[in-house]
Amino acid sequence: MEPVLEIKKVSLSIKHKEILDSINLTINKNEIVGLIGPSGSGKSMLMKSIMDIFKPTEGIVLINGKKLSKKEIGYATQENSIYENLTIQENLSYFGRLFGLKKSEIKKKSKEILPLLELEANKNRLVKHLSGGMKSRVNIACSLIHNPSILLMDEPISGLDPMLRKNILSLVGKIRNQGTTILITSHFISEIEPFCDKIGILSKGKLLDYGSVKELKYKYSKYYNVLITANTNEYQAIYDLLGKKIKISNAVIKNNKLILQIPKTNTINQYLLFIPSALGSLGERISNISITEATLEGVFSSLFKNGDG
Amino acid sequence: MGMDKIRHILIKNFKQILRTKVSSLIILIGPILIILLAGFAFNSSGLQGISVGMNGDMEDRLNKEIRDDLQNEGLGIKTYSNIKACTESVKSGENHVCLFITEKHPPSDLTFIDDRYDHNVSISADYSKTRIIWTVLNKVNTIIEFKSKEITYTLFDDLSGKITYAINELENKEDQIDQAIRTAENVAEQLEDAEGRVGILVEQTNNAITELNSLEIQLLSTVSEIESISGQTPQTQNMISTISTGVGSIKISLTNINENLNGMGGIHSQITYAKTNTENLVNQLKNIRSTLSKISNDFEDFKGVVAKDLMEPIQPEYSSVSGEKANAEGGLEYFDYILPGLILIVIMFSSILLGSTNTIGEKKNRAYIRNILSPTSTGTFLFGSYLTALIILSIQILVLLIIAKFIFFSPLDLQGITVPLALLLSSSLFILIGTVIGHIFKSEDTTIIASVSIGILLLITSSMIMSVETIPYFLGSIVSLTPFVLLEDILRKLMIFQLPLTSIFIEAILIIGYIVSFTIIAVISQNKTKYKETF
Repeated sequence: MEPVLEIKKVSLSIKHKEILDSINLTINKNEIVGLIGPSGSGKSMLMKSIMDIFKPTEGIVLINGKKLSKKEIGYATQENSIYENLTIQENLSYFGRLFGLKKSEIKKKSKEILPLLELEANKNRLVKHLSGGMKSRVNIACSLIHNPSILLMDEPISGLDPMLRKNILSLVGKIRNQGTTILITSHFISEIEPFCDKIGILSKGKLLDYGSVKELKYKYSKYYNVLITANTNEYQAIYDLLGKKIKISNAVIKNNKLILQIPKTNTINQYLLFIPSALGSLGERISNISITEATLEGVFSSLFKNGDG
Repeated sequence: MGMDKIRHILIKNFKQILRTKVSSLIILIGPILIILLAGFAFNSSGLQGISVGMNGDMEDRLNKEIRDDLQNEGLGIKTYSNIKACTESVKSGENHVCLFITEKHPPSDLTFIDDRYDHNVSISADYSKTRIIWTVLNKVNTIIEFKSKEITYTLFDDLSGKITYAINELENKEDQIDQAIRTAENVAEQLEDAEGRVGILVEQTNNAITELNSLEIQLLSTVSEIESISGQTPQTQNMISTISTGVGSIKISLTNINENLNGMGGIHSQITYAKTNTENLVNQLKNIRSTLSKISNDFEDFKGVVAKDLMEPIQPEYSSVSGEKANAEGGLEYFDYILPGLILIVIMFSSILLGSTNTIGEKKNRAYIRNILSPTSTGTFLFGSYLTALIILSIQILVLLIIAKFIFFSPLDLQGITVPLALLLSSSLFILIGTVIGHIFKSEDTTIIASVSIGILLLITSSMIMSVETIPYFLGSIVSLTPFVLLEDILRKLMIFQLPLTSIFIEAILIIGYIVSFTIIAVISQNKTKYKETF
């Protein structure tokens, strides 16, 4: 395991207010790490501390074992940091030059990035004439032009429609495959979950936990989700009947489905056998029943029930 | 590599500007409009569009002449039957000035010399039109003053003719008086001679009388002696009788002579009196001659005086200190004198606005963060932004100078290194001021307001608006050190007077000091604020 980014006991205070509190985080080469946490938890401030925009009051950030070098980091901001009156290629060339790349290096890197981000066909179009999704891809392209070791993506899919979010996130995987380590923040937890190798959970400037998605789910999720599809008139009866036999922590009706949260006291298969029998004749009127492990979002919700960052 | 980055910053900036049609139009058309408007406004001696309300008395010669002169100067004339309607037309904006010319009643005798004499001239103007009213009034006054002088010259020429006639007449009379003096002097001499002759005659007569008296006494004595001799004979008797008769005749003669002598004495007195009177007459004639000579000489002094000398005894000659050049090339126009200030105004507002809007525009651009997160120094971006503005300014100044040179034919010498150097200093300073403003303020609106406000403040405290010399000393000493005043002074010296660089040494040092100070402030403010706007 080769660490690319090491955050060691980083604290940040602004105007006597503690923003980050002794954060320790290591990201290895080719990992995609998601950083989640409620608003105000310090996700963006941690990114800015990594970028040295806000100098940590304590601690140190190392990139490839060395102190920060701007050339080693690519930063894709939430809002597209690109010039609207320049073409895609002009943006790439300009930012490439700012990072000290030669013309030939920019040309070579553009040939890699543009097809990767599906921008090749539009490289000579002005950014202002592009769609929102394309602009987001140009923003990422500009962050990659100087071939950084790590790409920081701050809420890269916020403000995009579901299709575009999916499209952008699919690119994250491709970028990693090109050899770039990625640190991504997002509040679309369920959408980034499949792409992340590790997740860091931030709250009130503290890193509550950091580990693989599976580890976190196992650690924090104490419930299964039971999804029952039936006539909506039956849901109250189902809930009442099951409630007498197993502990139901929570129940909601969503998309005409009854979702019940039940404790992880048995395996999924045991529950799949037990629930229909427990419902008796009522069970015959259920058209579908499925049981899933809690999502990362569920973990997140259980951790921050009160919306407390 | 630094220069390469600057080159790409410049390319990026210009692409952005050129692809924003409105901004590129403003950058180019703005200064062209300013110079064209100012040029046509100040370079034209015509007063097209200015109208004067007048009374339409076509019979009156003065009225007609002034009306013709005003029309020849390009002013529009509208006629009114009464002064009230004319004044109202000024209030309503129909006319700029109301000029009513009416004859005085009763006319004075001088109207017989020139019928334009004895007029009332009433001028009503709208003083709220401050920029134009003095030009219009000056023009109207110039025409009226010219006409007034023309009338005065006519009157003086008449007076002068009469004086010349009097001088000639006096000269003629002097000769006649000289002749009279000479005649009187001859008479006096002749009278004096006659007086002498009569005196001699009287004396001789007195001697004759004395001798006759003596003879009479001798004869009477002889008679007595004869009678005493006894025995008078008839002969003796005859002798005595003859002698007695002779004595009697002598007595008669003496009586006659005495009577004549008395008469001669009267004549002598009369001659003496006549002589004295004649001498007095000569003296009086000589006094008159002397007085006439003095009067004649006094008039003689006025003989060569022309009306212009009398009406304008002091005739100042005005010449510009930029004289030689002006004379050689046909003279500098008002436009040429204000051109340095005009160029400086364009440079100041364009530079401050370009510097500030470029800076705030870049700060507000979402791409700004990518710039500042790149391994490119603050100074590189600052220099790139400065060069962008400087290149745009150079184009604007070039356009200004081409228009001034080839459309308004300004004779100002703009060649050489000194003027471009001064323009570079001016542009640099104001761009840096704009850059500092752009960094200090947070929104585009406040940045533009601040830029325009500072530009106006610098303009108001310059000699383009008010005279630095007339404001209180303390304020004046501060104002005289403001960038606009210093740069205006530099440009004036270089463009109008063609002075060498040494003449602007102190001003140039101060401006360079300002440039260095604002560069430091710009770098500090950029470093202090670069992350604030972005995050």
